Amino acid sequence: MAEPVKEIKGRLIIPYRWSYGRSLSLFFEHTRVEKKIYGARCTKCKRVLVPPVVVCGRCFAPTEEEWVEVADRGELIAWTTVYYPFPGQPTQPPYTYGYVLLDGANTKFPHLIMEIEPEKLKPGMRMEAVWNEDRKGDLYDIKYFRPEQK
Amino acid sequence: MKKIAIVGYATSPFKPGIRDIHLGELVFNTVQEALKNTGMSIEDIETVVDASCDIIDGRSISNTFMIEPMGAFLKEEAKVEEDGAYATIYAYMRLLTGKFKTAMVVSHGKISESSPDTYSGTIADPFFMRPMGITALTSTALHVSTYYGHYGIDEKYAAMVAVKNLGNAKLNPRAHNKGDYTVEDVLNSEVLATPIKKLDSPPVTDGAAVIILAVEGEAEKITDTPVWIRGVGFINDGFYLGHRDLIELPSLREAARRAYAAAGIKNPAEEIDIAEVYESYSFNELMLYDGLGFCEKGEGWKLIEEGTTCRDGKLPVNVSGGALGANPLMARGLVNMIEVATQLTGKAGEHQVKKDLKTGLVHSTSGFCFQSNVVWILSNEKG
Amino acid sequence: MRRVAVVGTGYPKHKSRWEEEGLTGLVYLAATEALEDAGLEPADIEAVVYGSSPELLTGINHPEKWCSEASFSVGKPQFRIHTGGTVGASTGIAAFYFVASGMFDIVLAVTGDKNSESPVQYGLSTVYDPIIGRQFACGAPSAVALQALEYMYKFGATEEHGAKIAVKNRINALRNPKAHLHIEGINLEMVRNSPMIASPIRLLDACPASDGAAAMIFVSEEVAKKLSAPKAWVNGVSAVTEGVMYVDRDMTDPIALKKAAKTAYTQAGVTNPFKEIDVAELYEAFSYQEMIWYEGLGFCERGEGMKLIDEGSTFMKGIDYGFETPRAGELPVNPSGGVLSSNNIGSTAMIRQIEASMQVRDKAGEHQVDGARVALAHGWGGGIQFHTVMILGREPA
Repeated sequence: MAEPVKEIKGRLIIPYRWSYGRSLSLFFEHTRVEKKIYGARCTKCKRVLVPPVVVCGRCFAPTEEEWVEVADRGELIAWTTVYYPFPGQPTQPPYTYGYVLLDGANTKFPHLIMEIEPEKLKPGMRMEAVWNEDRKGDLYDIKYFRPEQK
Repeated sequence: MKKIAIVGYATSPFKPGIRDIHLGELVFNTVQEALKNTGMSIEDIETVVDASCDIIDGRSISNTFMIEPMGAFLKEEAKVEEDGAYATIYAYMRLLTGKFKTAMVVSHGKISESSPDTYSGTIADPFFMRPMGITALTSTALHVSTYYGHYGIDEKYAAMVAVKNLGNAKLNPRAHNKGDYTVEDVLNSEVLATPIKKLDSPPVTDGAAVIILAVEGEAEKITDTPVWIRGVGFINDGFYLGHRDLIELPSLREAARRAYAAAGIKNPAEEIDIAEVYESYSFNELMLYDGLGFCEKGEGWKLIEEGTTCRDGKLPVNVSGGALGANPLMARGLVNMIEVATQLTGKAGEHQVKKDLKTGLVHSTSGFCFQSNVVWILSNEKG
Repeated sequence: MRRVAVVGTGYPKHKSRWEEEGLTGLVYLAATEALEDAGLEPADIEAVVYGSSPELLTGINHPEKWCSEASFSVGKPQFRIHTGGTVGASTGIAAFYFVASGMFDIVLAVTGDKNSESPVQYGLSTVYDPIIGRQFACGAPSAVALQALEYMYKFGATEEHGAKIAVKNRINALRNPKAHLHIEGINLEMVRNSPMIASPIRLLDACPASDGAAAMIFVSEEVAKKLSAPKAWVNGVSAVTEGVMYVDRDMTDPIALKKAAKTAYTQAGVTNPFKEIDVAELYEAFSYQEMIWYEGLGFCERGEGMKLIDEGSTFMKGIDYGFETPRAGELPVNPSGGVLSSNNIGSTAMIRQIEASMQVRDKAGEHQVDGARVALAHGWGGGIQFHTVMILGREPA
């Protein structure tokens, strides 16, 4: 007798459309039009959240209506170079990404890190954003971060 | 057993698509509103249970980014991946242990970011149901043909339910799908899957709902109008439709029986003053009357024909407009609880039922064709 | 509050691909084994809590519905818990509350997942925020890589520490027939030479993707007394969460875990965890995390997790790991082989509770810690933010 069939193949394709909401719409309007990064100050602890979400998690307090501009540069906190491939991966490995603590912010901002050998990265290293020429109002308005140019 | 009450609640606006508000902001606004309504601060909430769905959100582990907006930061928290009326069971049990004095249940869904058919279609198993295209709509159509065929019920009675619920919705600010329709309008509306037509069907609704529970002793301090939980029953049935008794609806009947037993209700049709049930499609409401024991088996049509379940009837059902009026997936069960709590405390404003209310029933469901059901009995008396 | 005991547990052997059983079959195997262990019949179960991992991993929404028959939950109260990696533990904790509330006396908690049925890291990448972060997600490895790197730089932990944990748990797994990975001859060299998947995490620093399931039976004291099966008393339970992108977050300082541990220790009457806990099963999806969890659980001071590795305190006594472990046996961690040896996500945190209860029920066989009286089970999930702690005891607290 032939080998019985043991599985069927399938695929799940689900289109989504995730709302930015007013906050992120405005955040990406600033990145797209002005190449500026804004954060929002917590009304209670006064720390600055980037992107400017409406609530400070620690305090469960709303953030201030008036935003503050933060720098497009800051300190590298942590990074990883990804080698592992899988189907549907949004960025093709190998690539390096990490968290940058932007000057003036109290939350870490994730992005790609380029123009440096990963072995040369150090915590606390100064990084700067490289802006995209063709900005569409999404995270890739910033192309990536690289070591700060003197 | 400890007595537990609903002491506060809030809902977001319900709309076919809340496109200008980020999911987190929607949740944060609703939680803030619930706290404001009760004069509580987030520190007063000891545990949080949330109800949401990865597939709806397109965000796996859907509570990951909702912890901050929910105010669950550094709190005892868990997610029940079912409708909010199920998450409330977990919150209720947490309070019964005496470990916590207050609990908040947060449910949210922005189904406009994906689609209701994706949500229900992925419940289908990959071997038998998916090839058939089973969704909430098509499974309900099969169910209706089974149940209505068995009892020989005319579809006009389902149309009467649609007329009632869409009409009730007109007075309810929490409903967005509403209007004056006739039975003919419903029967002549576009056929989606025989015998279900457009006006028998729920709208696409985005929204969030929050309730706050507290134990006896605390509840009275928080509000002058606590709504007491008198009983709950929840039961699951088998999976494949062909294996189930879609006429008898055993899981619905048993869930109701347990809730009634806990609340000391012997004759639901006489003792329940108001009910909010998760009908989804107009046809289902008559089956719910049957399974909940509001009528003899197969005789749900009589209740709608005689006007018993209309706004001014003896046992008003879905005065909110039900799921036909607004169908926020994952939140609808809490909306039902909130509606009954609002009615029992005389706070429903324009759509307040004009009679004395003491005991209310809340129903919600999960899975195809009422696979799983939960029934809550609420009262404005502690008992 | 009512006392609650675990009287039965079960999990089928984990492997890369269970060809002969689908999800429902695995769930059935786990549930049946737990019932047999408890000396109970399916009809004795009063309610069921079902847990599983993100739907976008398996492509199945509401798997608890599909698994109704397999989990003996037809005609019974049942609902589903889902908290990501933590879910197995959250499911056990929910079952605890089902019983502790007084609503039920005999409750089945069951979980399962078949990671072979989809690209797991694709599913796990959908945990990342779709607007800011998902663009460069590499599932769990990349998130934990950032945490591990931060820990290494802050406290001076080295690749050697990660490798020692990877070796410890894999060698322990050789004594657990149900573990997925049985890597004969595993040593530091093999870990060091394994390919980098997301620096500093190498393939052998990472958990496998498994097919598996797990089940536990929780009962009231009254029922427990009537059963001859050995008991593991649930003496402490806590599930605390923190956020993801909150201000001043330090990935090396698991504040939610600290709070959960404190709550569970208070309930169980534990004042010096390192001394009083005999064995612990932690959720170390990646080797480095184990040290961070030691600190969060108060087994040592902050930044000293690597000392427990250097001194060998968390290794099993009498096993040759290929390097010095002078203080082995002080507080063995992951005698089962841990998450580094089996991970189907849905059941993984439950298996920590199962293994901890097996230890205090004297049922751990070859990987039994002799005379274990107090055991700890931990789980984490979400954006490395949900933490659960359960303390199981040979006697009720």
